[in-house]
Amino acid sequence: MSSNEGNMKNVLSNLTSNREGNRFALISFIATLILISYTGYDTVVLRTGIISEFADDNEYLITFTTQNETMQEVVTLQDDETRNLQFDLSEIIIPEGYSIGYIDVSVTSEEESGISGQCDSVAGDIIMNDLAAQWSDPGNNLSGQDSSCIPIELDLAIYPNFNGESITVSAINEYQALLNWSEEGWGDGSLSIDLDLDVNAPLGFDPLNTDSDEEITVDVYISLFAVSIQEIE
Amino acid sequence: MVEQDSMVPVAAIVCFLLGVTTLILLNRSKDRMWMDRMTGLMLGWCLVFFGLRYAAAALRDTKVVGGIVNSIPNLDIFQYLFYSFTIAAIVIGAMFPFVYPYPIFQKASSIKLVTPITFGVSLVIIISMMLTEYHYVWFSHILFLPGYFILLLVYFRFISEEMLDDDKTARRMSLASGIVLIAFFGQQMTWWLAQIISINDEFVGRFAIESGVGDYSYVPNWIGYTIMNSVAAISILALTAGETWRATKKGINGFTVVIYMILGVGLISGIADYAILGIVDSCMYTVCEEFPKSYDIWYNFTTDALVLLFTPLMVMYLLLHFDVIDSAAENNQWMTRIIVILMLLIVSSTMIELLQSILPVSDMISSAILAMVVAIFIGWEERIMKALIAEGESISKKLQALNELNEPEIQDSDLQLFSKSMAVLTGFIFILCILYSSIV
Repeated sequence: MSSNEGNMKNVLSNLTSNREGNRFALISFIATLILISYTGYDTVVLRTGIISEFADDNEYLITFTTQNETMQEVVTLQDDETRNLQFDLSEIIIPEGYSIGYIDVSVTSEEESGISGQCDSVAGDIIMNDLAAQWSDPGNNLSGQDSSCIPIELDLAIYPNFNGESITVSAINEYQALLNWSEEGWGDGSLSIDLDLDVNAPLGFDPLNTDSDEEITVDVYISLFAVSIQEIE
Repeated sequence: MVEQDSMVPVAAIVCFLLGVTTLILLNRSKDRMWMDRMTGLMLGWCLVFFGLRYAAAALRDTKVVGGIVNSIPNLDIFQYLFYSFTIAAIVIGAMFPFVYPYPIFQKASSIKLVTPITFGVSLVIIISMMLTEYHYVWFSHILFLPGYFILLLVYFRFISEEMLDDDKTARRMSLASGIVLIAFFGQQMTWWLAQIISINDEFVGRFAIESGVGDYSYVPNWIGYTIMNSVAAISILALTAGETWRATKKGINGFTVVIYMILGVGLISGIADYAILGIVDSCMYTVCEEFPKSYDIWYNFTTDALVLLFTPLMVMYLLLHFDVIDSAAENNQWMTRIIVILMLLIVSSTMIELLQSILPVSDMISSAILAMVVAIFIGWEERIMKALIAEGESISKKLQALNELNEPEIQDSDLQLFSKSMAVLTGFIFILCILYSSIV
């Protein structure tokens, strides 16, 4: 049945005049509706829920669990001697999930020779080398000297921005919140320390030369940390 | 070596050139029926808008800020132009199935409404999207839904008539509607498997996070994406079913091969999409990882090449093969020939350059291949033209033979009003975009 009057009703009637064609078209339309329904649910309902979590950055509290490892070396230096000590940090056992945060060094001299027990002058320096560390951190103390038998304290920051205190960060997920705390390689290398000794005799007088050397103890305290994260509701 | 995204400026040239030529040739084809003339005008302006859209995209993406190529452009004039011309092309595309290949609007009054509807709806959507900073722009995809139903009805009616009633002339109707379906949904057809197994939402989610979810009003856009992808998936499956049915009786032809190729590309793309879901989801659970290089190359050679280079060629085929423009007329032949050879050469050379960008082929070899392609096109120019124009009986004549096409009194000036209003719309878009981008 055909008509060329151009009425919308006639046009649609002509267009749908083939029964087989209509059947195939109807199947396609039903398939389209089904497809739109379940993909629409996945996209508009399910995915919207997931994505809405990323609409604003979440707040996370990052806390640190710390533990210490120690290395020690005892050396005897002669008067006016300079000696370099190397502490290979790969020798310490770092538990799974831990990183090196910072290193504290204590240089202790023990005055026991000589007539008067006058303290000798001891200097300790952490020497900048290829150890992966924060060499320009303002909190570092890389040099120290003492002639009053008080231990010399030296500090070197290893992991960037680590000071052991909890922090709050904003990020879209936990992974990104922890991104700054999952870097590897910090602390790789050896810690190099130079020691100098200058023996001090009482009033500069030691005729028997009984105070010509000094036993110096170097303690290296390596602070390790592990990270814990908690979303702030 | 060319960059892989250099297809966009090529697409801009191809679309704009083809659109302008279509309008010129149509102006010389005064003896055509209202339906063919309206079709030519709509396709011509749609191509011009697509050309301008791609040109805006190419300029936007290569904009240099302080000596550095701006890879994440903000809303600037080119971005405004890109969206505005996209919307104009979408509105023409949405109206197109009401005119071709089976005109739903056949009364003089309704035919005359095509121009004001296209102009008015385009302007309203362009302005409203501009004011909402294009947050909902892809929601406009739902405009394709009525056209999709019409095209599928036309396809199945006429393929059934060809198969069951052995009406050989019915083929041109199903072929035309099939080509229009590919022209509209070709890009999304290559994602058919991903849509059916419903993993496209994961890609959509990734792009939302990458764009910054806080500023991204995704739900209306996502409705638009879902409808477009679903409609495209069913379209390619319906076309595959229809062409397979036809191939069992009539054998395989060029269109069948095209359909199977798109189906195959969609199958492989779906598997590839599934394989990289971990990377897609990385944005949600870790940090956004880059897609593998090979994955990008695959999409460059399939989906992007299809939408950027081959869709204009399909439109050209539609215009010539179905005699929308009078390509046989003496004064049109030389221009038609030039444009056909030019189009084929631009597309071939772009594909060769694209291939050269990923394969270690020297310039000498690629030049030789291009020379061979040129020689083939020049040598076979007449055959190519004949193949394009062969059986170039228009759709309107088929519908006339069926007594299903009304021939109302339509003045030429009524049809030309479409061109004039689209020219005015183009001017409006430029002025609005310049003004608004300088204000905001």
